[in-house]
Amino acid sequence: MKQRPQGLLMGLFASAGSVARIVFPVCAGMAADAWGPDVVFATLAELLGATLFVLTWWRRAFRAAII
Amino acid sequence: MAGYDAIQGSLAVAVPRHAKPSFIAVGFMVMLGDAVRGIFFPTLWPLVSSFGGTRASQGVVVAAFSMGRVLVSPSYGAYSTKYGYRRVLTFAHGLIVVGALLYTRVWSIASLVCAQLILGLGCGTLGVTRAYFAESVPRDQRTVWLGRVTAAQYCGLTCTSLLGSLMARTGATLEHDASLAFLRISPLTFAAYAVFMGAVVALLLLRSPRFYDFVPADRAATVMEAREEGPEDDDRTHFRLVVVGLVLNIITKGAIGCYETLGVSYAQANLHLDGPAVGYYVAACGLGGVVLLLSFKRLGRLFDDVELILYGIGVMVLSCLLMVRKLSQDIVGDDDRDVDAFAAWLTAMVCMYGVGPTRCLKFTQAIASVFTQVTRSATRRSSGGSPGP
Repeated sequence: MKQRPQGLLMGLFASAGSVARIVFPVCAGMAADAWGPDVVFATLAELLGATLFVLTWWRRAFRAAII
Repeated sequence: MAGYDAIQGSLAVAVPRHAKPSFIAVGFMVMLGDAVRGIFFPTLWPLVSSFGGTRASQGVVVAAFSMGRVLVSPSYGAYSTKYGYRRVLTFAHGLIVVGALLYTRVWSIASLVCAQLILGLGCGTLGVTRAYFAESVPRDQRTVWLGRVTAAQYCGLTCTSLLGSLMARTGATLEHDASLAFLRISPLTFAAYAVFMGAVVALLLLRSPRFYDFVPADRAATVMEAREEGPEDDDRTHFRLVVVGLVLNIITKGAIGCYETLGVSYAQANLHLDGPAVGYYVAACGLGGVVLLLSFKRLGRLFDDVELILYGIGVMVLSCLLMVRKLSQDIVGDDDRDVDAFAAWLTAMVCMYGVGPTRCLKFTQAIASVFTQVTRSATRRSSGGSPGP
């Protein structure tokens, strides 16, 4: 954040998404084989629920930053 | 009709006349970047299996593309900040040309992985293209333009699978044409020629004098000087927001990635739908997402950005719960189990693919806004309180 690294940080942001697209499906496939798809989708629901909670908790800071 | 009106409304946005051709060109490159993945959906598994590959091999092939993107995205971003956008985008689309040509001539799993890796290296420009829009679109129009960019990306990913199917059919027709023997046409790889042509068009657009290029580092020079004197509290807050945004991006993108893997196989195993049928449903949901993204100007009047993010993730949670069979039977009912299971799956797909993109767009916009706000506040300090550009 010392300079204005819009391109670099956007690149990191995109890379993080690509890493997720590699890791999550592989792990989900293994978990589905071991415990069934219900466990995978339930875990995803929990993760996204936690995400929703964090964002709700930080909503004022986010609103101040992006609006 | 509501969707059509929304699209018409969103097209009324005014941007500087000189910038529009460049925005359209960069939008095309965004679409091409994801079309490279979407267009091979219908033929990838048949191609892998024709080389004797397994599902695990297909996973490696798909991962090679994403790996290419991961490797270059930060570097492309840094270089575009330092040297401008045209140079980086030209290099990247040159790689797509090479990768597409290699794809037309793949002969084994290893060569296919190599082609996918090169294509991934060429398609790692999403951060660059988004930064281009974030740097050049006026702030009050950013939501609409980022909506269009995300719509282009989403359209490339979901709608080009239909083009891939058509190309495969055309390839089957032309396969035995002796006059085209030098092209080594195969129905399983013919779609690579469409990618090749798309990359060539992108290169021509980049070479056009109407393409507006600039070096972000030059623009920021005075801002950076001002930053060295300013307080660091804003930096810490923004840094935390960026980290939170990155983590949330990983989780939500990962969830969509899981759907690409398990959502389809779930329908095939439990609902007895064949591959093309599932593809049509996914493409239809994706088309709905594209329409939703193009109507963001109207949605923006109803909800603020944070609300859209929260509602988007809430809908994704609902989608995941519907995919848990025991829960979906409780939610939808079990009078006629087959119909209800299909209804639950289709609702989950609509929630994930139709509404999911709103979250992608809003996160991207949030991150872009956080980055530019750092600059804006520094500019205000350097100019004695007057608002930044």
